Amino acid sequence: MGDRILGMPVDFKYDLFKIKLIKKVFKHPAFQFTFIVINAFFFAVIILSAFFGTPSGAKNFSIIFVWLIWWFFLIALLVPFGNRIWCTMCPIPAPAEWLQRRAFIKNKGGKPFGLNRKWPKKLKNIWICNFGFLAIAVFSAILTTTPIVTGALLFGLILVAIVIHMVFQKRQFCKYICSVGGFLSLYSLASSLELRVKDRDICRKHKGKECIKGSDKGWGCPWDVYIGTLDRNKFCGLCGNCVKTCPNDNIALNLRPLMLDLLVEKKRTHMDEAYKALIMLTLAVLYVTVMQGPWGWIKDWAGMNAGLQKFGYYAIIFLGSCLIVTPAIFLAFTWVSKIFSGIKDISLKELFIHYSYTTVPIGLAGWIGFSWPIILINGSYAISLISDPFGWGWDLFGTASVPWTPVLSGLVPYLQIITVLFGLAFSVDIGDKISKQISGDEKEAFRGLVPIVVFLTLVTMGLIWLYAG
Amino acid sequence: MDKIELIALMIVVFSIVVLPVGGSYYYEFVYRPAHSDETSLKGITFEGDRLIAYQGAIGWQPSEIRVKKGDTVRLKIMSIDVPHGLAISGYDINTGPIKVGESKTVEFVADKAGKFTYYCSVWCSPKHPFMNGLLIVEDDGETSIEPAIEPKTGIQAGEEVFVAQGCGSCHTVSTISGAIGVIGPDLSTIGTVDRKYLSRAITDPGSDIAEGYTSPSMMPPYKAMSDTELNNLLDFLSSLK
Amino acid sequence: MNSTKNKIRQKKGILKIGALISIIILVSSLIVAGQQNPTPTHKTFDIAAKQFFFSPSKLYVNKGDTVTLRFTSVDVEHGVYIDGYEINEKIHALGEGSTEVTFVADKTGKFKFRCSMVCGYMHPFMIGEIVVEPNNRFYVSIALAMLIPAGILLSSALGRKKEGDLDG
Repeated sequence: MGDRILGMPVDFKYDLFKIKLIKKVFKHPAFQFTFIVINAFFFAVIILSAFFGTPSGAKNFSIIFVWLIWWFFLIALLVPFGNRIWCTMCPIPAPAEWLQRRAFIKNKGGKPFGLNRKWPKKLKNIWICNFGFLAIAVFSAILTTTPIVTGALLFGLILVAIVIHMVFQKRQFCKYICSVGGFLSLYSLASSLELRVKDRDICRKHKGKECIKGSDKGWGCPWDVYIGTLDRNKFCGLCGNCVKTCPNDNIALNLRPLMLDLLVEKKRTHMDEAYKALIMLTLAVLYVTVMQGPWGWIKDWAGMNAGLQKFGYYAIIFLGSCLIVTPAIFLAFTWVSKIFSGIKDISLKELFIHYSYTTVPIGLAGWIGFSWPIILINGSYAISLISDPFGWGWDLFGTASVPWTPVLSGLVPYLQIITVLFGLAFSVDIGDKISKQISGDEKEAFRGLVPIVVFLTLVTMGLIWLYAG
Repeated sequence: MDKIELIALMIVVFSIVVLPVGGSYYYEFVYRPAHSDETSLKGITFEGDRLIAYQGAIGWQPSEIRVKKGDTVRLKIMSIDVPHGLAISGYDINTGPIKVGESKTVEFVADKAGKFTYYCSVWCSPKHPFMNGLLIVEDDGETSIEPAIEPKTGIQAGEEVFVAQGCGSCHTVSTISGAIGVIGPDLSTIGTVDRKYLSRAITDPGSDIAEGYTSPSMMPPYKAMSDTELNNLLDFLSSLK
Repeated sequence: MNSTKNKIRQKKGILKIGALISIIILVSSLIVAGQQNPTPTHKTFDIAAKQFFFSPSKLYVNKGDTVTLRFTSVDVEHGVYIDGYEINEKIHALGEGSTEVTFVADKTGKFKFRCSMVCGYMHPFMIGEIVVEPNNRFYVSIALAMLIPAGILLSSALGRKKEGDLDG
């Protein structure tokens, strides 16, 4: 692939480990532990405030710091520019992993605690994550405004992680169950950061394979990833164990162009990923419509304000759009693409999966667009909340009476529009390259691409209308 | 377990348990009560938040405040779910609307003995008129909570019923400080109205709604009074001319 | 070699024409949008504020209009904040009167107005929209949403042909 993604050379790589400080931090035995503990403290405050604090969401640490602060940083910064770096410091699986390893920092060897079963092959996909995320998303209007529901969800995830870690080896919860993990699996492919080996030949000749087996310097990869042949970010959680154990110093933390991993696979067979891309795209549109739109009746239905029956209708519309309507529409466009291009030796299903990856950039951009008003308009709640996390009338740092202050509210539509236009540009460019991967013939590839570009453009126009029309 | 792991364990326990749980418990239940002479009064709608029973407590928390005559009472009033306001009948106190999560402090001397109703002065939910509490000012030297009262007339007793039932949260009566509600008709001169009509207006307000007011009636029926109480109340209302 | 140079010149010519057409589309969309210039008037809207939306929730005015929004709550205390215009006013609870907000709509575009007083659990979603026509930034964005993919497709088509020529 000798070309460029929107101008950036495809083979551009800068190894951040060239910066001594970054390498030192990653190699330090307490690197991951430190960040996890800091997050665990905030997590404890979140759970406590969710269960014992004020029921008013806007005045509760859990709602503001999970759904505003953490969410914005995750989707707009950590994911596009940091790959799965949230997984590095996530406190949810931490108690489970400490229990399993019976250690916090040093690997003493020995059998891990628990049943240590292998994850069943049939479940080695993100379908559970897909459905789990949808099941949670249906209740979003209530979840993101009601502290006790947020607390129950987060605490529940910790318990599930512990159970999974006690039955299965390594970090299967994060890979195949966690709903956040589900969309990180997909969107990390678009990230500008990666952990890869510098020279695969060294790995081929090296017999020790400490990166998988572990050593006294660290554990074997808990994500079941062999970095020697890793070519997609999907399941690398950036925990840094391989960096610590590799005796050949053969691992690099590379900056690279955005969207790169979407082009890696030549033969695409993951229907779970394809569906995830379309689900996330639909959700980006639905969330803006329900939560940030002017249509009061939808909000009433979504928040159970109009009764359980109406919520039932809402759930059907919500889930139906994600699981049936959008895939059906995309399938129709793929079918037009097949007819238009005249491709013979690729099935409709394969084409569907291939082209679904073009919706990743615009989907991610749609989510970031949704998140701009969240942080700019409502982020100021965080200032008063650090002084009064439980809403009990405290004033620890003197900021408790700082009022709600929207920031740059007039700029928000522009930020949203620019974000999705960038997303569209990336989507079309990635689409162009994928179409050439599908078909060697240029004319055929171009003709196959056009209907998909029409779909991407229509979706973008819909998002722009929601933001600024 | 070797030294590093032990230190790690202590850090984990400190960050997750000692600091958040212990710290907040100590601050809220030990330090703050010891350093403050305010009584905290929290207001939550009767409907609360459907999905939560805020620790089982709704309305005004606490719903009863006892002080001694002559005490300086300092109340820190906080709105929990929607904007509320506090008014105390008998004492000329009305905080006006209090934003969610914020508080207003009122300070007054409890120079009158007796039972006084405090109620919500900002419409907060359909059960807003029921959001009442009782301020009991005990006369010094007396251990009984019933202050020594001269036999009162029906009108005086009726005024107490008016206040105890929280009518002032929706109706204005010029002679009762704290009765400044504007949701229902002004009752300051309601004495000219037929007594039977008044009785029905109290026990079955939906049957005949005053002109200019919303239908269905926002006023809930008040049927829980005894006959004596109702009669006293009607005496009082008929005296308002 | 000559034929290759000619072909390259041809492709460059197509590119120039393509760029010209794009600029024409962009400018004409702006001109069309700017044409709608009715005389400014005074528009008044009566809006009910309830948990958790405004009714009506989507308003249309023209640039230069003096807009009066009269908010009346049918339940608890609310507030109104208008994005971009940064107006922030309280809306009194039921029984305590209406609030009037008056401003001159000198900025065009769609501006969301939100509840600015925590009024219950779905307060952050209590949003309405006011569109000040002509909504230029919307028209321009839509135009860009068509031009950007067209541009990328065009440069891809041209780029490929160029490589093909140089190879052969």
